[in-house]
Amino acid sequence: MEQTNIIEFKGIHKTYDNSVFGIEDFNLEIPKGAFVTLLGPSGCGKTTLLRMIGGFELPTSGEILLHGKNIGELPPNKRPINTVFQKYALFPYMNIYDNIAFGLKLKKLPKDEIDAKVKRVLDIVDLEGFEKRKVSTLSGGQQQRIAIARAIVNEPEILLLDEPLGALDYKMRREMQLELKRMHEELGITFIYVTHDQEEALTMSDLIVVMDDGLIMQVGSPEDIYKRPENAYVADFIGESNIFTGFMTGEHEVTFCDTKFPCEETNEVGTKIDAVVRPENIHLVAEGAGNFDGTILTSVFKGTFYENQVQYGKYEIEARSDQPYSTGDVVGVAIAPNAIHLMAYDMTKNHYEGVMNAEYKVEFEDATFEPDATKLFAGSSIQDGVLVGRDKKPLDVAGTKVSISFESADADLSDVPDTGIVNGYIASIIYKGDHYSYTVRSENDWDYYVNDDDLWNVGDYVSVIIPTDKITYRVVR
Amino acid sequence: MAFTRKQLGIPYALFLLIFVVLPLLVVLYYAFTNGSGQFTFENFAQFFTNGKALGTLLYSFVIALITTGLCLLIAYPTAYFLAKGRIPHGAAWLLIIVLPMWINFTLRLTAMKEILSFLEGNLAYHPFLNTIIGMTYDFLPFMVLPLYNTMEKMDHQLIDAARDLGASDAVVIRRVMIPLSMPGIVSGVTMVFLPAMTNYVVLDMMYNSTYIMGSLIGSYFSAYNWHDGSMISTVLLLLIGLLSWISKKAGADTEEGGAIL
Repeated sequence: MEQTNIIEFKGIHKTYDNSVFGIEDFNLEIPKGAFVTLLGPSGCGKTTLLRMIGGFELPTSGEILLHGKNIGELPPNKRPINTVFQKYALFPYMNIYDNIAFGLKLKKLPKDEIDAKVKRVLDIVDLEGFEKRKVSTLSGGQQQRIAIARAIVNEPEILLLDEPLGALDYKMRREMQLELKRMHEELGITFIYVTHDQEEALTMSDLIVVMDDGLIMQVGSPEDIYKRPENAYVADFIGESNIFTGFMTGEHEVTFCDTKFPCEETNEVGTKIDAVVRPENIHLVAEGAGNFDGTILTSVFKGTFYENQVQYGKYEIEARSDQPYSTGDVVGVAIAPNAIHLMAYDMTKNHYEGVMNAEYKVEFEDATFEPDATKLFAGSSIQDGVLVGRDKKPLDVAGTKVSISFESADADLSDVPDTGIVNGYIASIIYKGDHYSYTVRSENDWDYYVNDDDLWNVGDYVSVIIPTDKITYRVVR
Repeated sequence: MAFTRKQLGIPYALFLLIFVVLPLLVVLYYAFTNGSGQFTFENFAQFFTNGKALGTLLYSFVIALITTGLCLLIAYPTAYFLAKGRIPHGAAWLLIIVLPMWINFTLRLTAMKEILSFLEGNLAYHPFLNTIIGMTYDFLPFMVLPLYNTMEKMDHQLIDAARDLGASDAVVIRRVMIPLSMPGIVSGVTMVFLPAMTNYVVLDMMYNSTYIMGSLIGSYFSAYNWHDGSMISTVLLLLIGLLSWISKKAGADTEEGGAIL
């Protein structure tokens, strides 16, 4: 396949005056001729990016390149790009022919050429002979086809589709998904599709960009995204999944749910991981025949399979089966080595979230932190022990969520309890050549990653010391 | 106690009968009779042979046309910016525009007169201009409101779609915004043009010596010439009926209806 990029986002930033939402440093390359889907929940910035390609919104900073040329300032009518809008956006006072011919007439093409082109696209969208119909006499699905026809008749280099199937019913949506895929193959142009529907993305795309909160979570083929999610967010967003936190306890051996599993993938021994197992890859077998035995909580018929919740100690596992079970049945849970996908934790950083109290301290389950409140809120200062804004009026900041983060390299361990900010037991050790990477688990089950030169043992009770100037605080919006 | 729809309609039907249908019949009676109560077309013929009456009709028409055009020119962009929220406190601005409607309009015109005489020295220097200013000022809210209503409901995606398909700003206005706001334009024009044809208070107050249709009728009635006055009223009524029929047809042609105030 050709590997030239038709669109490139370079360091795109977008901020709004009156909104907390924004896009920060967005970089993406879209290969020519591909069917690319921007997938994410509403408010993740996917539609904003699409509107930037279309020219309806300008990035605050950064460049959008079309064939390597910056098109940032080009108005929409000067771009070789057409859009299929969410609610079709057909002109209600024109008939179907005039709607489709709108762009062609502006280009001053001869009438017989326009006629031929309109006829051809109506053929492509399977609505032959609809020229004279009024928009209001068409069903939602037909209107959507006309909207597509109106866009592709201009032979754009890129077709943008903004959740075009959102308003259709389930069956129609399924049909249109296949139809769009067929059209993409037939036309050979680049499709950039925006949706929050993961099934739609998996069905149609060559490339999926999973987004959350203005950030790219993963870019990959549908298979990559489904089978090899890079982080817990993607694993959870795409399809049903069981995500278990555990540790590597050997070469090709992982421990989660208090059980050792052989697995095909591997990572450094001692690494904290999230293991992703899809429900369809967990097999329920006879008692004693699986990796461990669990008790059935619920078993629900889903048409082609039964969906079972299995309880094992404090863990709950979702598994599919061909046969129904009754609540209380004891079953063996079997997970094959190739069904386990491992995602390593980033153990170089620690992130927590606390809530600010009335004394401007940040309370977290394990400890209370004391940030400099004036640095958290721009323009504020302390007057007589009260935090005030620029206008010298007291700020009500109690209840504000604050993220707390520090580098593992900045933290130290001590065997004297309460010398640090939190106490816990060492849960795992990885030797990193010149230092050890420790995971310390607190009473409340929070993990702290600490790099230390000294050797401790798993199970040692230690205190985690973090120099106050090494902790970064940020208001969570 | 439950009323049927027919019963609830009785008060209005009575009102209609006494204050609309009966006076109309009286007007028609006088229009087609002479001093001795005999049926005649003489009044009708006289109106169309009377140069002064026809001149006044034309003059009224021109004043109404200019007033309507000016109102449309001012109200259209105003309504657009108010409806699309491009300016902060849009609702407050709309209120400021609508507010004069709540004040007695002779009072408003008196105020306007003071301002104009201050600017021009003497109102008599520019009677035509003053009339147009007064009329436009008086009728502007009636144009802004229906336009604002249609534009507020206008789907902005259609404008995006047109630009996406290659339309420049001028094409967007001509091919998308004007067709979409047509219901508002039609009702705005109806609400300004027809009353402007007969409004003679503004002319009176602005010292415009030339008669407008309304004052012509008034002058006949005050001279106890019921028959010619009624004839002019009838002609005017037919004219207004014709114009509303045309504007109604224009409104029906724009598929996306609504907002006819």
